[in-house]
Amino acid sequence: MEQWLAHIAPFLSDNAIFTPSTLAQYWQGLVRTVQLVFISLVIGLCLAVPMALGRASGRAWLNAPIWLFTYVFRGTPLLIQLYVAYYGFAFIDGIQDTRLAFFINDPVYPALLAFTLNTAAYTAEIFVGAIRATSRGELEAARAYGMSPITAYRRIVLPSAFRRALPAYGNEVIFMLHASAIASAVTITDLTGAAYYVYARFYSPFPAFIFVAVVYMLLSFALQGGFKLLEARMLRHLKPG
Amino acid sequence: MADSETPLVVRDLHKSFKDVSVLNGVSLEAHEGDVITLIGASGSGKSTFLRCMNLLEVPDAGELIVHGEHVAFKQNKKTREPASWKQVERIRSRLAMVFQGFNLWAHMSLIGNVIEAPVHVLGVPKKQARERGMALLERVGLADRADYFPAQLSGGQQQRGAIARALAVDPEVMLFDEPTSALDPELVGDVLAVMRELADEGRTMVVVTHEMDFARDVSSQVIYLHEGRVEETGAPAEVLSRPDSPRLRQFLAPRF
Repeated sequence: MEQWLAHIAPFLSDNAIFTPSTLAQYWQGLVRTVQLVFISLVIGLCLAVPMALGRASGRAWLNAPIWLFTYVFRGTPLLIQLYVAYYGFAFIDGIQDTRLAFFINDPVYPALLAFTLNTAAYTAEIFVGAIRATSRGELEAARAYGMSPITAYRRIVLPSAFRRALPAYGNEVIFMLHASAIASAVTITDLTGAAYYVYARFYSPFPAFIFVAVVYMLLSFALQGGFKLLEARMLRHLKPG
Repeated sequence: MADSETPLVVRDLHKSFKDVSVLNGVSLEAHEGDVITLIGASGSGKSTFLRCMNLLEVPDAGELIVHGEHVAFKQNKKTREPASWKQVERIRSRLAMVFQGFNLWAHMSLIGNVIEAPVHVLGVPKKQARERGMALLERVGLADRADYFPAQLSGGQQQRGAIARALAVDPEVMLFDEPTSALDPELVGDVLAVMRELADEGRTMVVVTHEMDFARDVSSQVIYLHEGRVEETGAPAEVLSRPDSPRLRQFLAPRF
């Protein structure tokens, strides 16, 4: 990073805003954004799969609580969820003296919590839909060939459901990237937070925000490209001829 | 006589859905090498009968004996269900089914479909299953389509692939549920030709079909079902050429 900055510093010498120091700020913001989004997506995905299985199981005692969870998290704004996680926990008596203190001392943790639960809720619903769309005939063939319910899920239902869910999940990932911009509302210096900082320091909103807009766009393109490749590979069985 | 060598014996099967009674005591005995065709109008219960044989439908009453092994049932308050799903899974893996709608697994290549049950149900090593699977695809004329996905194949090719998938588990009895009904007329011949070959080599088969030529030429026994009962049964020459029952006569009459 240092080297890289030294390299481009001459090009920026006439420029008051994009100095090595503000670029370093943006870089740190980028790292933070990628961390937040990546970690919440991974944990969210791990939570979503069992939730989707529970929802699709047809057992009311499993389905109902998960349904309520996804309903609440998809029915309220992510910003509100973030505020509740960020401010809400601070009101728990004595939390400062417990091991959970880290949770209120660094805003990254409440943000991770809100983002993770939010993406888990959306992803679970995407997967439930995909699981329910499993062809009845294919499931029947699995049973007819002696597969146990677990084998049928592992070999037939889930692999085909994950493939069906891929395009919708790709959208969810890009949505999370953009939604993560609100982390700056709880003092986290993510990409958007870095733009705020530069804007406030130089009072030049256009360069500051258009620059991050371009960075977000490049990230989106990269993600979209990645999902395109994955879909081309995983969904090739759906293309006739 | 039924004994432990008989691949499939079904006795006095009853099945109703809600208040509609579909099977009212039908029986069947498939000996080694038998080709039994089930014919009848839609709603006569022939598909349900076939689906009861590998317990895709659980019969309300009656016996099912596969190679001497009785399927055990337990009676709940209202429904009857198999006492052991483990046993059901084992029995299903010995009775391969070919469906009207093919039902190949769409996310797997053709060879993937063929080796799926041998590898993941029967525990055959993958390499061995693949070799055998390729030989089976060769048999049904699809060796050059092994890596195609089902959606890339015609209906006739899919159905021949489904027959290869059925053969891959080396079944004791093959169950065919109207295997040519969803095919374009010009593709029916290929599938029937494969089935004829299987019959000739002594495979035990139970076939629900509307193909009267197939029933006449290939089967060793024809069963005509009407309203969930065996209305008439016997050798195809008898049953199809000189039907006793007026209903069967009407069923077989040229329709136009």
